[in-house]
Amino acid sequence: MRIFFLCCLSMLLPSFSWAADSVEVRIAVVLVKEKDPEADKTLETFPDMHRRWHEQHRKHEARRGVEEGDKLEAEDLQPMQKALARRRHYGWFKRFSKKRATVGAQGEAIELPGGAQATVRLKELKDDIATLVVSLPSTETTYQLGRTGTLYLQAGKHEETEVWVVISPAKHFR
Amino acid sequence: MENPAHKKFRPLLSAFMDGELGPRERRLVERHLASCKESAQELEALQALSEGIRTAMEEAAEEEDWSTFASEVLAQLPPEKLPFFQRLKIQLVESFTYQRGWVLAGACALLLVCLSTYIWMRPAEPVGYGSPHLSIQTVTAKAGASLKTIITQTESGDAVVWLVEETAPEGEGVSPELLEEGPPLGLEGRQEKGGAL
Repeated sequence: MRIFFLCCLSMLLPSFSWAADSVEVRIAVVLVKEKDPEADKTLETFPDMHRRWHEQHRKHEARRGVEEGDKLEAEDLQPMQKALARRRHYGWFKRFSKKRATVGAQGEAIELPGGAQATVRLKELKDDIATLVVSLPSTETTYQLGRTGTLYLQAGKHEETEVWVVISPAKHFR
Repeated sequence: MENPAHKKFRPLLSAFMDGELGPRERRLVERHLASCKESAQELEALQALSEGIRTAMEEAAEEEDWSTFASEVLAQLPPEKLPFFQRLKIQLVESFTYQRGWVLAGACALLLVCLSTYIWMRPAEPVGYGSPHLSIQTVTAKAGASLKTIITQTESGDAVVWLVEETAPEGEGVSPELLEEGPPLGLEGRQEKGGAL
């Protein structure tokens, strides 16, 4: 009987421990590299060469992903590629880190490549609308969480890549 | 030749002597003993034998040293309080052996109560997502950063905050058409440094 009582308590605990002074978000740090526009132009002139180049490029990226111990997460990062494609054509995406974080007023640290750090903190939680402040090395963004919408923040450069911080809702709302 | 009544009651004599018979059987044996001399003699012999054995056992017991008996018996008993998991194991084994039905029914009932409580109490949606769309309020470039910020938006309501060098050519600035691609971002504040919206 005691065992079952303990089981019950353990099942109930998550619901009680849910605190209303924090919000849950998914945070990812993604490294991206831009395509060479000149190379694209040249390749577009020769469609056959373009196709072959793409095939070679994809193979190369996949191989590099395996060699670096990190798979090429193209499918997972496709929405990001699409969102950024409005302005720039990035061809290479690699996830540096990802986590599900419970963000409170004290803030949640995000490790960036090269030893830099960013923080996300809850500024306000009013009428079930959370206002978060994302502090990056060069900018500070204040925004309200929404059931839809991912926030992509350019966070600087690291070696040959651009660093992006991606903050998305804790779950997919219907 | 053996008396048939004696033959019938003979096996009962030992039990009669030990007081192990029921009231009816006892009365029958008593009635038989009153009329059967053989049986009465056999009962006397049995009683004498029993008395002899008892006396012999008592004498043997007196010769033994009983001073350490209690401590030796206690030493063989398990400790007063068993470790938690051992007690739990014993409790579970006993419960499932002797009260299996009740234990299973209780477990099912408790599980049902816990599940329904959990489902009832858990938050339906994560907290803080009262707004349907993400909404940027302010984007501020930190002191010393020679940057402009540009915000673009996608049809799905995603927001992208770009960093542009302040010395970047005009073409790098904001493209108004980009901002028109999706639903309004709900910008309440303005960028505090640079970055045309």
